[in-house]
Amino acid sequence: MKSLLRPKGAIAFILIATLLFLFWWLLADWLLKQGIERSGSALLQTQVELQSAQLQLSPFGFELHGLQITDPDNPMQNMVSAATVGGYLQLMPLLMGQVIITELKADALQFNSPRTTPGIVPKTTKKEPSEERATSADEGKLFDASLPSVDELLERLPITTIKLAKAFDKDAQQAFKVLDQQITTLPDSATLGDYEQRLKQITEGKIRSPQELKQRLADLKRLKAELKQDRETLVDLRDNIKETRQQLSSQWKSLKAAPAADLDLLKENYGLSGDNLGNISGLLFGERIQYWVTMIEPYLKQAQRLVSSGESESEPPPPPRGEGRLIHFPTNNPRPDFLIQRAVLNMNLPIGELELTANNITHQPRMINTPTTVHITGRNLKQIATINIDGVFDYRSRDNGFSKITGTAQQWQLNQVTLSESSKHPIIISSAMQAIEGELQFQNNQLQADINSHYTQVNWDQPERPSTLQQLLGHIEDFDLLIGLEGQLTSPNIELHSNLDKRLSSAFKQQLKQEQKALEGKFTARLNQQIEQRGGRYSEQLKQLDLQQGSLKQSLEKLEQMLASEIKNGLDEKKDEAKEKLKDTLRDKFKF
Amino acid sequence: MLELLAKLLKVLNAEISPWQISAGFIFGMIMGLTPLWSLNNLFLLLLLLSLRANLSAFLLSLTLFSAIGYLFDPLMESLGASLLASPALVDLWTTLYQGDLWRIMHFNNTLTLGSSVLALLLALPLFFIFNSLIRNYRNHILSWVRKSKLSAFLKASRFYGIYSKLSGGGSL
Repeated sequence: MKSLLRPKGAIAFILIATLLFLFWWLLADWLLKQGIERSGSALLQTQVELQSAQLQLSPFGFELHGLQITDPDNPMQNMVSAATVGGYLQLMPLLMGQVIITELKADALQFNSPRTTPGIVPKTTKKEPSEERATSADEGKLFDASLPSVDELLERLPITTIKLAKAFDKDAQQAFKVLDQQITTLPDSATLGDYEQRLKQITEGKIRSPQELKQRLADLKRLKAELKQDRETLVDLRDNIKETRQQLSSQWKSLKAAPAADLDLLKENYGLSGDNLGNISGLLFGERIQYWVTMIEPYLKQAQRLVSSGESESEPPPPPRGEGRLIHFPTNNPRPDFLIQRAVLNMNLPIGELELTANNITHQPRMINTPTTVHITGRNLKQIATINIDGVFDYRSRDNGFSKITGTAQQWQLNQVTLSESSKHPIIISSAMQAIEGELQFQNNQLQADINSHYTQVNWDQPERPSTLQQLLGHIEDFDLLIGLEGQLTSPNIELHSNLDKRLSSAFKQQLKQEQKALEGKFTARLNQQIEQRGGRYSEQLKQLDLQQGSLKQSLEKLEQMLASEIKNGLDEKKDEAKEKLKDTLRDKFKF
Repeated sequence: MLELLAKLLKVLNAEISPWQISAGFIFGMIMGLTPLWSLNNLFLLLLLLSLRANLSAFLLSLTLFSAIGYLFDPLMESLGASLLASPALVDLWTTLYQGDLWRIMHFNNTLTLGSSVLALLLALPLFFIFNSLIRNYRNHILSWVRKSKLSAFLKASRFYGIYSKLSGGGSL
């Protein structure tokens, strides 16, 4: 039996181990580059590229050059790019399966930078273009505060003046038509003269015989019948005229009162009091703030998830095959599985350079009993004098973990800020200076934020034909805006307070009052015009009616005279004459 | 694969001690079942090379048990998890956790612990089983195989060519 040990085996082991290490070391940079590109692309579902990667032994760390992460929505653009990303790691914890990065530094970090060649994006990650905000047209209506025209109002409102005027026209026309027909049946002056002539013939002259008397009496009776009939016609016409006059007068009275009632209706329907214009700032800034909340929501959720994912009490998901999970036990020197002790990121943004310093980034904060802190400050800023943002992400307590962000920005130059995207009357701040300070807290899925903004040197974009709101805003050079957010992160209640409301509302009311007065004047004038048009014609017709009435009165009197007084006198005279003649004849015959 | 099998046959038929072959099998089994790139396996590699364990048996066993290990990965992971969560063993784990060497060996990794415990539990019985199987093979089966029709068929195949080349012209 041979010896148990193989002395050359140890030498072979050393040789194999050395060869393996050399092999690894020679390929380490390439392996690191490949590993980051492949795993990064798989994780982010977009192309992750590196120009080069270097691994160093002392101090143990890495340096990545030319990092580019393609924007999945736009392959000709990088979502994130960095000139260099370097970091130092603790070797012993790494061998124990823990990644402890003592320092991570990224320079020239850029967002949305252009690419020279399109990045490769898996088809499944390409997002459908987001829906246009459906509110633009509605915003246009909201901010289109000009009053409607008189014609539009007359079309939209159930105006009684016009209805009554039309009814008056119809009734008057009908009534005058009837009267005109009746008038044609009246005895004219020739007929009346004829009556007089006939009456004269009957009542005057000597009656030569009883037959003649009898004849005259019969003629008189016939004439009286004719006169009575005409008198009845005249009386009917007189009554009709009286009735028509009363009816048309009543209608006219209603018509004259209608414009005032219509004006009340107009005021009631169109709320021209100006009281409903009290929250202009909400209309102007509400959508934008809602948009900001939507923007920060995923970041806050991600931050919460990142810093508290290692602390979950629930059953962890099964680890990938061949890897297993590390179970930790109490120790005097606890270390999380992943920790960035300090990260310094220099970002090149359109507003200038921002430096982000973060400490203690880990998903197991209770293990180090220290919260994650972030500080952002600006350098060589183009549009802002100073900017400072501090964040604390404290999830050491399982039940009361919170994120808190405070920040200030001074002399922030705003250019072409669109508040309302209405195609008809967009509200755009051409330029303004903004000072902003705020505090935001997120705890137990509840968001609470107070942000104060002060705007000065505000210039509003003024089109050639500005709307009422645009005109009014043109006079406002500075205003404050207080934003309050409270509630669920996905749908917080937004409270907006601004002196803009008061100033705008007051100016609005004043302007509206003037416009309203002018509108009311035009409206009333238009309605009165309806009445005046009819007024002239109606008074003419009334005048004619009056004349007609006078003429009728005369005719009636004449007829009455003819019927009563003249006929009666004529008969008596003839009777007396006949009596006298009869007496004389009898006296002559019977003279004693 | 044919070459590996031919090597195994050569080893089995050669004048190599059965324990060397069994040790090679056992080392292969342990390294195959446990996560490959670990400090533990580096230590096992040192032992494998320092002891006169058979490398062909080791390589065949490593291939075979890597596949078996992948198949039983979830089972071994849950075994390790339950061991690490066992209240009776918490003190032991806590003590080991204080030492850097143990932690570098990833004793607190559920899969490493589960697969290592299983492999170590199987190591000794399998060692003796393999020993016995090799002895029986050499005493009873080898002579029968050499006379069988199967042997004649195999001698005509490509596999025999590889075997002959490896064994320097030796017969089955």
